[in-house]
Amino acid sequence: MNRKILVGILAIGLVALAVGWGTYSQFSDTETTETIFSAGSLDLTINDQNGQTVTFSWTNLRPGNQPKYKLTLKNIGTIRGNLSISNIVVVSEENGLTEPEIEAGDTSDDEGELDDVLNLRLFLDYNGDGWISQGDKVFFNGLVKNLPSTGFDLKEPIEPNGGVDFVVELYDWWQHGNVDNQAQTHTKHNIHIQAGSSTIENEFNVSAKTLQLPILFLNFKMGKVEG
Amino acid sequence: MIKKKVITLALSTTLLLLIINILASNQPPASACTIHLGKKIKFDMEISPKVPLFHPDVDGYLYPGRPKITKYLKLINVGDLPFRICRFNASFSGEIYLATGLQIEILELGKGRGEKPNLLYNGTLIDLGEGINVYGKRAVPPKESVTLQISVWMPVTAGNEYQGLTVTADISITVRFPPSHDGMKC
Amino acid sequence: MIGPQNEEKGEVVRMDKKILVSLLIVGLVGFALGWGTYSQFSDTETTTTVFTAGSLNLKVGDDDPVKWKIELSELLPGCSGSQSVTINNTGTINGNLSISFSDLIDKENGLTEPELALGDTEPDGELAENLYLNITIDGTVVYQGYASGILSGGITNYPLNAGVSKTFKVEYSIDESVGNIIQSDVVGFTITFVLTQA
Repeated sequence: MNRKILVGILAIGLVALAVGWGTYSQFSDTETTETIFSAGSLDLTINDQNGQTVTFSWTNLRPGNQPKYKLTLKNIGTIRGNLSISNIVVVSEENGLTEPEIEAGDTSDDEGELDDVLNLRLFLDYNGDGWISQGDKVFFNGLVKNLPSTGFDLKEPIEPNGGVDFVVELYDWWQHGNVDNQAQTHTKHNIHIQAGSSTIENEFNVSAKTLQLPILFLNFKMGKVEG
Repeated sequence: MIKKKVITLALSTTLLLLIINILASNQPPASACTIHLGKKIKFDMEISPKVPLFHPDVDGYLYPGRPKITKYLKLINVGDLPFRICRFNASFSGEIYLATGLQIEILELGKGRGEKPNLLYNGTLIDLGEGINVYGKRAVPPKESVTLQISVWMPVTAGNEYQGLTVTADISITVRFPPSHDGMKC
Repeated sequence: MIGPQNEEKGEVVRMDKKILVSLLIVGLVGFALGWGTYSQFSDTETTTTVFTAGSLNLKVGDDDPVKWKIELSELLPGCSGSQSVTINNTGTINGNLSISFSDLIDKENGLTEPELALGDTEPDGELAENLYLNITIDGTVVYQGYASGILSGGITNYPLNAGVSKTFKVEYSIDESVGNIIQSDVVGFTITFVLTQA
């Protein structure tokens, strides 16, 4: 058995020697080339934050003023994207009822009525001045309660390293008499609501208890440019 | 009387040979030795074909492991004295390096069909440049010829450094008289 | 007695002597002349031989050595395209072409926020398994499949005769359904072309 193995090894060795003996070459020519494929990226930041959702809230809402909230959107990816707003959830809460509210007939404890009176304008502020000017794109102008839950398919192109300001503007209380009173929670107020009319004489004074305003969750989505 | 005759004959033969020798030794070896000795004896060989024996236009390109290219060169005795092949030589021009990568084999073919060829040279083409003394098997009489079978190839060990090179090798064949086997060079 | 016999004898003796002397002279002269130089005739004829070695020269694209390469960026889901180059045997002998792939890289190249949201991690990218390739030479398939499997691709003994050129084409695509997971990922590999004599 040992002999057989030895012979086998010897045979292999001889074959290897024979095969390796001398050099066998042919004419040949070799060329090599490299390839690189890189995927692009689309990455949207809101106010330089890079989370999935950005929430914001208002306080000190008063009839008559026109608070604005500006969100700066930026594309920090490498390809052009289309901006859309994919999802809107409106949550409004009440902080308990106030006397004028009870008088006005608001008996519910669960829902606020601000979204029935708050008028929003949503627009893309291209020139960045905070106001609606020529070239800016207004894509919603209506009551909070009418915000479509499916969002807005804006298809606004945003170049890489480009961006746009997205402005949420409260605009004009919708004056509907009792509804106004129902929309407040206050420890003290000077609001005088007259039946039939809707005069807001004084400002809301949101003090000790912060009015839970409608908290808007806006899910921004950016997809690739079609075509 | 007979003695005298014998001696006289021997003497004249010796004298004749001596005269031939003297005259021959005064002649420089030339490509066509023509010695006029009253009888106009000449020593002359011619080759055939006279065109280039190998040429890329006819044979194509050489590359490692390509089968041998074989050609035939006839040496014709157009003189009056027999000859024997005694030497090969080569001179090169062009890309001489290619000659280091080519093998050449020269066989002296036999007279009849059954006669085995005689190997005169098998080596690299470049080494022919040094001159090789050979001993041709045949003493070729006047009006007859001997054929050389010449094969050239590029061995499989040749590398890329030979690619595209061209070399011209002028191969010389020398024949001699007398054709006796005496170990003498040309 | 001295007489005619004696005279004959005398003559023979004289003749013999003469002959001997002549032979001796001839021998000496011959010896002197022949010493050191044995002369003979020789004739040399020359035949011309010309040899040219063949060549195998592989040219990929317009430059030799090759400068052509594939460098594609900003690839997106749903994209597709192709890159081609001409492969040429500019030598004088027929060759066999072989094509092989090596050094596959599949890099994450950083994680964008959308990738992070999907749970993507370093170091391996996802582009290789989503980048579909159809690589051909004059229509003959060299590799068909995702970049992740390219090392198994290639061909051997594809005839490329002297003077002949063929088109080498790399078609690529990323399916539309592929999402953010591939963002900024990078795929690369080396293509080696070898031409050997046929």
